[in-house]
Amino acid sequence: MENPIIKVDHLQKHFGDLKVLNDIDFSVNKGEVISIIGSSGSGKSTLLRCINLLEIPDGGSISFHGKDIMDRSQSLTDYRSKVGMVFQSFNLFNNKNVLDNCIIGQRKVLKRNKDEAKAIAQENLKKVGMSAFEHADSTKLSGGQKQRVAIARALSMNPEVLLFDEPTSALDPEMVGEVLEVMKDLAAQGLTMVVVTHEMQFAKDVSDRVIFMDKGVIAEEGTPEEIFENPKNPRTQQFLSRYSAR
Amino acid sequence: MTIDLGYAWDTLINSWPMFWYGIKLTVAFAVVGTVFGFLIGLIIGAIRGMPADPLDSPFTKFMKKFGKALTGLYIWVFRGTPMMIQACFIYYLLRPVINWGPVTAGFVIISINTGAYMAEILRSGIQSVDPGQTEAAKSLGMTNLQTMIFVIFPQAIKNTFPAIGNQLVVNLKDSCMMNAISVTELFFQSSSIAGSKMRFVEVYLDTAIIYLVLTTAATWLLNVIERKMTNKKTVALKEMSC
Ligand SMILES: Nc1ncnc2c1ncn2[C@@H]1O[C@H](COP(=O)(O)OP(=O)(O)O)[C@@H](O)[C@H]1O
Ligand SMILES: [Mg+2]
Repeated sequence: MENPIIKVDHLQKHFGDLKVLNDIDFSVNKGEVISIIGSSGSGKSTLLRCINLLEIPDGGSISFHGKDIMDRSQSLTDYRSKVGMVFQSFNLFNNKNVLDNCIIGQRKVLKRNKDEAKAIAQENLKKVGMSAFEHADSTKLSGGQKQRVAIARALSMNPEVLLFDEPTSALDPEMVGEVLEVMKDLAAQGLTMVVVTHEMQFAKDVSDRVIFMDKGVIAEEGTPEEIFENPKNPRTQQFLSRYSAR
Repeated sequence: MTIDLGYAWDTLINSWPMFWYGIKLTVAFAVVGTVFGFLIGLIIGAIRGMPADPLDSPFTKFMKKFGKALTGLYIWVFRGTPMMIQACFIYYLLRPVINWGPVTAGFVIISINTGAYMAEILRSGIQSVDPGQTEAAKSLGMTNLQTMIFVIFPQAIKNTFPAIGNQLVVNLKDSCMMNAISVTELFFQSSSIAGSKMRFVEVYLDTAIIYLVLTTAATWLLNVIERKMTNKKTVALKEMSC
C-alpha cells in the first residue's frame, strides 16, 4: 500500500488538566476524503489544529510523508503551506480584497511572482464561483461567499491536504449548499481532504472514510456504509440517531 | 482687566515673521514627533501585543517576556513624567556626550515621548484584531513577522486611527514644552515678543488663536483622511455591483 501523506500516532493533547485528545491514531492517504463527525466538545477541532500545529500536541506524533512535523529541522512554514485549513469562521483577511486574500500567501510563502500568483488566484476563484467578486471587499460578502473565497485562498497554495473545520456551521441554512457543492467538486477532482462536519449527508455521499470521535478518542472508523448503515459502537448509534430523528 | 484687540491684531501683523518662525518649528515638532512616535509605537506595540506562540522556543519565550518588561518600563516612565522634565533631563544629560543642539534633542525627545503613547494605542489595536486572522495567516505558512506586517498592522492601524491622529493634535500643543530647552517654537517666540513689548495678554491671545487654528486644521485633515479610509470600501462595493 502507498505511504500515507499524514500519519497520526498515539496523539495526545491536554488543556490544563482537561484531556482533549487521547491516543488518536489515523492516517490520511493521497486522494482520500475523510469526514470526522462527533458531538461538540469531542476534540474534532483540536485534532485538526494539532495537524496544522496551531496547537502543539503533548504526546504521540504526527508525520507528514514519514517525517515528524515537530522536528524543527523541517520548515514549519513550508509544512503549513502544504496542509491548508478552512475555518468555521472563514477568517478572510479583513484588510484585503478577495483577490489579494488569495494572492498574499503565494507571494510571501511560496515566493511566486505577481502575475503567476494572480493567475492562480483567479483560477481558484473561478473554481469556487467567485470570479465576479475579485475586487470586492472581503468584509462585505455573505457567509457563503466568504467561505468559498477562503477555500480558494487555501487552494491557491496548492496544498497536498486541505483540512476543513466545520466549514458550513457558521452559515445561514440557504448558503450551506453552495459551499458543499464546491467541496464535492474538489473531492471529485481528487483533492485530499479531512472534513470535520455535521452535514451527515455530505459525509455519507462524499467521504471514503468516516471517523466518529467521542470524548477525545476515535470511537469508530469505517466506510460511510459501515458507519451510517451499520454502526457497531453504541455511542455512534446514539449520536447518529439524533440526526436521523430529524 | 482689559484686552486691546486692536493692539493684538497689530502685534500679530508686525511680529508675524517671529510668530511664523515659531509656527514652522511647532508644526515640524508635531509632525516629526507623531511620525517617529508612530514608528516607535508600532515596534513597541508589536512586542507588547504579540500573542504567545505555542511553538516559541524557550529562548524566544524568554525574549518576549524580557521585551515586555523592558517596554513596560519605558511606557511607565515616559507616560508618568512631564515631557518638559524629560526634555530637560535628557538634553542636559547627553549634551556633554553627543553635543547636540536643542532642536535635535527636542525632535528625539518628542518622538520617544509620543512613542510611549502610541505603543499603548497600537498594542490595544493589535490585540483587538480577531485571533482568527493570525491563525489564517499561519495556516498559509506565513511567518510571525509577515503576519504582523501584512495582516495585523494594517487592521490595528485602521482601528485605532482616531487615537493615532489625536497624537498629532496633542503634539501641536505639547511641543510648547520644548521652550524649556530653548527651542524657539511658537510659545518661546511668543514669550520673546511679549517680553520685549511688555504686553502679555494681547500677545498670548494671538498665540492661543494661532494654536487653535493649527489644531483645528489638523483635526480637519485627520477627519478627511479617516473618511477616505472608510470610503474606499463603499466604492469597491459599488464597482462590483455594476
Ligand atoms: N484553547 C483551549 N483552551 C482550553 N480548552 C479548550 C481549548 N480549545 C478547546 N478546548 C476544550 O477542548 C475540548 C474539545 O474542544 P474542540 O476540539 O473544539 O471540540 P469540537 O471541535 O469537537 O467541538 C472542549 O471541551 C473545549 O472546551
Ligand atoms: Mg469544533
